[in-house]
Amino acid sequence: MTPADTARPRPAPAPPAGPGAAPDDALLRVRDLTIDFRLATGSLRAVDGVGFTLRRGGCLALVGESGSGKSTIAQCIQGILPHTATVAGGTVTLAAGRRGEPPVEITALKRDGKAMLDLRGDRVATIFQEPMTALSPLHTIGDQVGEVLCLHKGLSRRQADAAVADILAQARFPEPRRAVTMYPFELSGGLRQRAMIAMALAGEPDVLIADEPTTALDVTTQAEILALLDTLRRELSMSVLLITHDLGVVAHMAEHMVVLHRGRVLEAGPVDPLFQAPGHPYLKALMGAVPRLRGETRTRLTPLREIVVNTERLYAAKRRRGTAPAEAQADDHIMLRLADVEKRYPLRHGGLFRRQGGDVHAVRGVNLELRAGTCLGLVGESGCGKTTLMRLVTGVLRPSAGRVLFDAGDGPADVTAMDRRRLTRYRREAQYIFQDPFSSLNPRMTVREILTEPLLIHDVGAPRERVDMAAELLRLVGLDARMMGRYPHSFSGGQRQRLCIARALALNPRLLLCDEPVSALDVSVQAQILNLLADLRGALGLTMLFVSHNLAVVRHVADTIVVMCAGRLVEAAPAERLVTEARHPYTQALLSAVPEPDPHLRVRPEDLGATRASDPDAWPAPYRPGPDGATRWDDLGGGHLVAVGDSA
Amino acid sequence: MGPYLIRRLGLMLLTLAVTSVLVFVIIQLPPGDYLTTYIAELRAQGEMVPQERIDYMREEYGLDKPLVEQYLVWVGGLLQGDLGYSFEHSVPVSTLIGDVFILTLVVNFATVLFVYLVAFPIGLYTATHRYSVGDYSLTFIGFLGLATPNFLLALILLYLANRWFGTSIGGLMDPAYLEAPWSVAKALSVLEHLWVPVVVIGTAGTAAMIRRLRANLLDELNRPYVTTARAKGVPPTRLLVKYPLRMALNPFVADIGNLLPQLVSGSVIVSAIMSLPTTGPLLLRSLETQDYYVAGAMLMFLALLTVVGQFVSDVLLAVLDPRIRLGGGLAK
Repeated sequence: MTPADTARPRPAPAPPAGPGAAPDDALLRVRDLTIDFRLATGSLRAVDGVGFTLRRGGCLALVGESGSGKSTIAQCIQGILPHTATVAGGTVTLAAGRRGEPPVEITALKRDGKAMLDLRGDRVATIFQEPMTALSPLHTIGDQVGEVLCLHKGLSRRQADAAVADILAQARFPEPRRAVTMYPFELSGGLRQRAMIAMALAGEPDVLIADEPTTALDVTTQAEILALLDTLRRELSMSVLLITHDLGVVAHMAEHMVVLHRGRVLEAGPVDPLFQAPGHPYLKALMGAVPRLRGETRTRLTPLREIVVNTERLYAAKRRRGTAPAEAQADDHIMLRLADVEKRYPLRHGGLFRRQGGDVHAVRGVNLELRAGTCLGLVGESGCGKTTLMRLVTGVLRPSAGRVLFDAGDGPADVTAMDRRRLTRYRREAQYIFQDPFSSLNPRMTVREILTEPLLIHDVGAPRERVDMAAELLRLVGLDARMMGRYPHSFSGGQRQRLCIARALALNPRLLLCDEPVSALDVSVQAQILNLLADLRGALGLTMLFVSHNLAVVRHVADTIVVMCAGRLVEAAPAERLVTEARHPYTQALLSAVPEPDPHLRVRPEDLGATRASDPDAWPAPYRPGPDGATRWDDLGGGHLVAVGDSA
Repeated sequence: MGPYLIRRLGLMLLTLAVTSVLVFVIIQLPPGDYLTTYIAELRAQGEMVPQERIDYMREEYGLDKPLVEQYLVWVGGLLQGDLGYSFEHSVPVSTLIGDVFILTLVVNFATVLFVYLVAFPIGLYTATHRYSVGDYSLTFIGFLGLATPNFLLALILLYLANRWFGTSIGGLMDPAYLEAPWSVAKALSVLEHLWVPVVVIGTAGTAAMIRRLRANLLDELNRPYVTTARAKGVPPTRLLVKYPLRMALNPFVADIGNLLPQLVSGSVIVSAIMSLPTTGPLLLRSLETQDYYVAGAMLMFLALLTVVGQFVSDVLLAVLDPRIRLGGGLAK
């Protein structure tokens, strides 16, 4: 699809309204909203004639990629547009509130005026994306949630504290009274997002804006938060405006959706028919880009913008360096073997008497085999030890027990026992792709420097050749070789991740370690990167270890999937089999948490709390680890292994 | 918090003890002692000193005892508030440097106050009104302050103060009060003279602090938690003070530890030009003549300021930032 298709102006579609909706059923009306940003180079139209209506008690989703203007619309409704933005046309009106507040035209209010301040947090509240940074690290949860009550309900600090505990309980905080005096850094990501939700709920708003409320969270935590939002919406009869790029989330939450692209509405209407028969090619493309759990395996995802991979030149380069790709593809020896790998960290307490608390097992008793030319998917929540495991494989961390064996075709060698020269070679053979393409590229280095640095360190080629190789690498990941003089900030998230991949490929590695390479990216870009990795793997005969918290993503790239929980491997099976015939309760919980982009496959909120099973001691009989925490593999045949306790 | 404070205090005392040993050893390092210097000076003037007199003085001053014993006597005296005796001036050290220390502290405390009081409002203004005319002009003045040499500014201000207000040039008080006991009039005279050195010593620090506060605040103003607070309906001024300003304070509090000793020792040149009766010149002279107890007392004073400054900033940081207060033990 070319930009011209999507940029064509279209009249704003009629407001989506259910059958028999009364006229005063509309709570929030957005009409012909146009918002411009002042830039140094001129002005940019971020939102262009957008219109939609949010019904009382309804949930409407604004769907689009980064840069589609969806967050700007949310900011406008919340009344927190940045200084550089101006409403160039159109109106946003909020109808009379539940507590008898008069109707108000938000776009007509003065920025930071009294009426605007009264509106924010009281009638309209927002749940922000990043619970790590959206809360002040210096103030207690009680202070930050209670602030809303002090501002809008006229409570004193003391009264607010008591009320905050109730609100936290409403947001299903396990220990609401204790949480009042806690600081955000003492809470997990999921709990912080609950605190954020509590803060939004405190003012009992008419409109709750959820701006990518779960993008920064694990799949399991996401399912819990979505379920909570859904329950609260019904309990409190709030209207929710959901801002997201994730169609799975839309299918689970929303009744109506508005698809945005470059500030314009492309398509709008009730969710069910739109998912069944998306009209606009853009929405069709968006649907095709979502990795799914069900349906045919290994269907190639259809990204919105396909990358053309050019591998010809690289083959030439590889032949020059003496390793033909055909040869690499032929063998399937066990390239990486982890034998009883453990990683323990001592728990330390402050003061003179350290090392009282025993050890934390980050990784316990892990056995793994990875054959050359295959892709192993490693799945688990944050904190399950998967990144620690990856670092053990790279040799950055040393295991407390067990061995990490790497075989480049000349016999296995223990990564921890390698001498300097072998280790230098190993570092060329195994390369790492990081999760966050924003922080894993040095902002002060040009693309040329970034791509030639590994070659320089390992003394590959003459300076002139290194630049040629960098150009080849750029073409390989579908970027233009003329971009070499640019700095990382001038690239989008997906392009940066492609740069990271190019950098990882610079040394012609055999093993590629991918640590959540797509979880920081939009769905459409995610499909692009996944396809690129699959193409490169085929073309270069790469062996991959792919880590993710999302089973649906792993299913699209991996041959075999291993599930990890609390430092243990709990289930291993060929990708298709694991998704369809999962045995372990934890795997099943992970599977049920993935929001499928299909309104008919909604996860019922009441199921989720029960299926959450990341605590090994809560697993039912055969799967519960023995008293010493040990498990062993039970072979179900066909390469399907499941961990059971020793007693079974 | 309690155990943390106790541990910190213990470490402080240990640091001071070690410093005292080092100070004593380093002062003793040059060959000879005060008496040999003194006698050499007398002999150079053609005077003969009988050996008995030398021995008597050596015994009187305790210079014939082993080093360890001399050290213990000195430290024991320090602990009881007895700073020792100046060989050169034949007065107790406390009498010699008492006034100097008080005036040094007055000058530097006033300077710190000046730096903070001027830098904070300006820093706040330039950060919240970024790229406005006010921001640009204040930034320009700030850079002028950074770039102007202190001694030049000192001379200009002394001249102007004399022209406009008739303030006497140099010193921290009118010459008439120099030997006079402390009185209200003397204190007023000190205040009248104080502003020139304070402005001179503080200008560069103020300009630097404005720049840093502006940069810190600009970083914080774009943080998501500020947006969150706006979305809650917190009024702009209250928001600024409660969230970003509070976050931007951390580097400044952490800096107090460096600030105190720097202010005491950093103003030597300005003190010399303005003939301020502060510690710099006295310390130099006492080291030259191996006047042990004077030099020792002053060096210990600097060490004490450093350690106390560090302690104060650590405690303040812990009070300000819960991540340090509660997370410190875990992060190690």
